[in-house]
Amino acid sequence: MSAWVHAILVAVLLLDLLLSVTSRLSVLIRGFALQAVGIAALALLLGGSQSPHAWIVAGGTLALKAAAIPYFLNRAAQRTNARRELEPLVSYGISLLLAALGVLLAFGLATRLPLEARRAGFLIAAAAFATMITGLLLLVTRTKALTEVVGYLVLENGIFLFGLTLLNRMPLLVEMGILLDVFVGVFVMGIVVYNIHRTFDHIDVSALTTLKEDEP
Amino acid sequence: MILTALVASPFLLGVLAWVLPGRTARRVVFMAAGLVQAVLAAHVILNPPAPEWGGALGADALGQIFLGIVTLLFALGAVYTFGYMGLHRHPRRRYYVPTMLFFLGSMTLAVLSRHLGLFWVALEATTLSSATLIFFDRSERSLEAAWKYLILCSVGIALALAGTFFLALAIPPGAEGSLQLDHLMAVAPQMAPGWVKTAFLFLLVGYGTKMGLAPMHTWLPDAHSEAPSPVSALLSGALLNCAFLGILRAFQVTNAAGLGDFARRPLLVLGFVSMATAAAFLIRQPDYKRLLAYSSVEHMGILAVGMGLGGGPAAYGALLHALNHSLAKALLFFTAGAVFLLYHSKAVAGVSGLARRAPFVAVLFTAGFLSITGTPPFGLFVSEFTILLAALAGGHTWLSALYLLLLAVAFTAMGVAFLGMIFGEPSEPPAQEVKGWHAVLVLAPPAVLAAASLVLGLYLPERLTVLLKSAALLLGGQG
Repeated sequence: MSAWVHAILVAVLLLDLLLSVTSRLSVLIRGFALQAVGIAALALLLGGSQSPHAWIVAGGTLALKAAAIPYFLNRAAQRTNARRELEPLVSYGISLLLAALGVLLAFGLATRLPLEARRAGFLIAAAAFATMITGLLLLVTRTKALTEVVGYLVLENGIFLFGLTLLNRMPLLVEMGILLDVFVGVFVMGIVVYNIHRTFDHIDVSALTTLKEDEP
Repeated sequence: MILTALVASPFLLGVLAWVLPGRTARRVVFMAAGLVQAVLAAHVILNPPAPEWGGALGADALGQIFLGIVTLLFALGAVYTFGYMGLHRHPRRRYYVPTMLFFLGSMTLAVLSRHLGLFWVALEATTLSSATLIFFDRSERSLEAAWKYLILCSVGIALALAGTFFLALAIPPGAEGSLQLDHLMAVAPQMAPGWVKTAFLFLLVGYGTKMGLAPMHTWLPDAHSEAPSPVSALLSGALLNCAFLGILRAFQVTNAAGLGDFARRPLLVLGFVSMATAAAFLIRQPDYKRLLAYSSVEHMGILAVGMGLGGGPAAYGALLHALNHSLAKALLFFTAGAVFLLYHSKAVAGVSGLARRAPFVAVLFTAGFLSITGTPPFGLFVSEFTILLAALAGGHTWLSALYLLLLAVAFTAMGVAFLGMIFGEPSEPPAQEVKGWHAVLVLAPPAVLAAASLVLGLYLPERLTVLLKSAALLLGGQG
């Protein structure tokens, strides 16, 4: 394991902590995208730069998770006027504490599970678990629809990171399928969020006309 | 070649339907897709072909059963959609036919895939394609339902992906192996047991969410009741089974690793929790489509119980039950669509005197009710009884008693609701007439299903029993 791999994994762990404390949607989206860049780099470092398989996975991750999904999420955020998560179920202090505990738990899990060091590095498993826990934390404690989408994406980042240790056991078709599913998933979720926003606006408008009819 | 064609044709026809202008053209494509699917699937089931895609795509006995269910329900659903959309004042949406076809394609891929990674991709694709069908009428309620469905099922299925990866990690180092089922089964005895157990639990919770096992079922009543009736029938009758197949695949590997007993316990627990939760919510349920949705939770629980009991007869009973439940539930959702057209209300209290207003619909609704509650001579009686006998033979006296009690509660709760809807005075004039050739298309599919459900209760064709037995054998049941 090279120093680069370690540096990237530490960066992924730090991004987990950042994601758990930020209230700004744009920071959340950027944090997720940066994690995806890290995962793409790891795919190359772990899969070997000679392997076309690793290049395709890295390229797909970059194109979909670091570019297309953030772009789409930002557009959805603009259209629905969602900039900040104002009413999280727990305060950001507690959120940071939980995320830190999550990192500890992840390291604990990584040591306890019978993981063979040669096949899946200890630090990769720890970073993957920590990212999965952060994603679940975002899903459980945030209330805005788009923040939950990011939570799902972070959870999926963790799982995909874990999957990188299996690069040689997974056919390319399946990995591309996973990426495509996630991308289409975000697309469909974005459509639903947009429609929720629009429908509720419609409801406001119709409520106004009812009041008008009632007045005289 | 034929398996590839079976998987590819819905997607290709879906693209075609998307490109073609005009409603008539799309409808023709839709019917053609149902026909192509029926012909190809019948061919695959009658003459099982060799696996394709390097063994990742194949039709084993389990795949054949579930392929049959998906195909039958889709073909009938295509006919039904014609009539239903003709009568219903749903907004017309261009994406309906293409999305339905993508949904069919992903379900077909799921039932035929023998690679756990590919299966995951297919099952997630079913969530995405069906979500857009749930918020078809863009009402507030349907949007909320679609949102819950998307986020809960996506997260659940993400956990199943983690479970799939754990299973790959359990492969002993140096051993040849991928996530293909045959490879996994071959190396299963040498797998690290800790990883296999963790993987099974993740897969069970993940696919269990999609299957609607309590306590992960909370999205199901919303999604299945808000979707248009033809979609509800496919969601309840076909899609839940696809998720069940995911659990069965995980069980196959776990069982081959010698951990079958470990896997059975959580299945049994989730099964009974689902049956109990559903029974509690069936009592005085005010919405009849939600009533049917909770009944799906109950029957998914029965499937989990059947698998959890272990042994050949119980597994056989569970698979037969999956088939019977699909027939009966699709029958009920199809008929519920007709009832909705007659009364324009989904409330149990909003429907009365169905027997006088529309006798044929009432007959179908009654048949559906008797069938879904496992009343003889319908098919579900046979499968529920098979599972009960297996439980008694296994010495689970208390579990058998609990099983019977929960079935009785469900029967009573549904009985009260159905009696109130079928008998009594029809109140106002009908909200809408259901007649003409549209009505024939709406009522013929449930009539076919009612007949099928009745036949399976009286006589099991030998071909079917052989198929079910060999599928039970795949799940580790001897004899």
